[in-house]
Amino acid sequence: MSDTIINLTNVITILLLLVGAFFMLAGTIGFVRFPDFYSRMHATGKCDTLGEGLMLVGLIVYGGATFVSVKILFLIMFILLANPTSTHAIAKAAYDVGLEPWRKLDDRVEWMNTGDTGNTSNTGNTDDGGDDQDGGEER
Amino acid sequence: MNIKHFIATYIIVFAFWILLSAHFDTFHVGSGIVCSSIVAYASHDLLFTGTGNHTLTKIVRFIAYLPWLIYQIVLANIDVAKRALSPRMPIDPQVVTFKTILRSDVARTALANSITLTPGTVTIDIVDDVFYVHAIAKEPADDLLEGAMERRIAHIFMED
Repeated sequence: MSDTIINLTNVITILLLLVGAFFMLAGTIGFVRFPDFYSRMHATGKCDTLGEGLMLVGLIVYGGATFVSVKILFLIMFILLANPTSTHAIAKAAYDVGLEPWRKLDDRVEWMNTGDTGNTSNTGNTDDGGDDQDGGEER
Repeated sequence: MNIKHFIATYIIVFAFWILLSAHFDTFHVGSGIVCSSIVAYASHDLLFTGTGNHTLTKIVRFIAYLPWLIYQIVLANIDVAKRALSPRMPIDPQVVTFKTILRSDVARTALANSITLTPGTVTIDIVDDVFYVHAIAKEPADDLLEGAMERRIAHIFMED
């Protein structure tokens, strides 16, 4: 009986850690792929919150009702509070400096004006990540 | 110095000390008592500002709001993960602004953080009454402007 409980605890812990790791990975991929600063804040600001949260919940499940679990619970609460706040602080700093958000339409117009005919058929929705990224970096 | 605020802050700070230290010998509890009194004396007017009323109702309503917020966080993550991993990357970023009905700083902070945590939107700035929000596509921006979340926050902090 107790073996079953231990196994169940392990399974839940592993699942939570894996799902958390998946969201962290997705956030990091988004961070690399998204075209500009602000959209990257979306990826890191959200995925880190849930990814870290799930992993810490997994550790609580593994640890059981101990003082360490309570500390981890405080960690989760702190992350829930601090992550959006820091995201906001960084985004506000960028906005105050005058960093323009990347726009899909602006990008298309600028390509037409500069006569970049290399891939005019590619200016619609079918941009792959690489092109978008370059466009964002130049801004 | 408000003695009620001091004692309430002292109890909270000391409970926090006990939780974090997890040792019950004389040295740890003793230093906890000393440190808590210093911290409580220095900050008793920060935790309880003494201006608000219905504090308990607000706390209860805020706790009731948390499950919905966590659900929204999960949705937000699935949304971002989809956009990041999809080969076509369906994003169309735009900055939207809206005027808020919330008045208190706490309510505005709660709304700003909730916006950042919910799908497709990040709060950039609050100037006077106007929120500047960066949306990653058109649908999240429309959802936000519809204003359901603002009404929830207004309900929690009794500003509706």
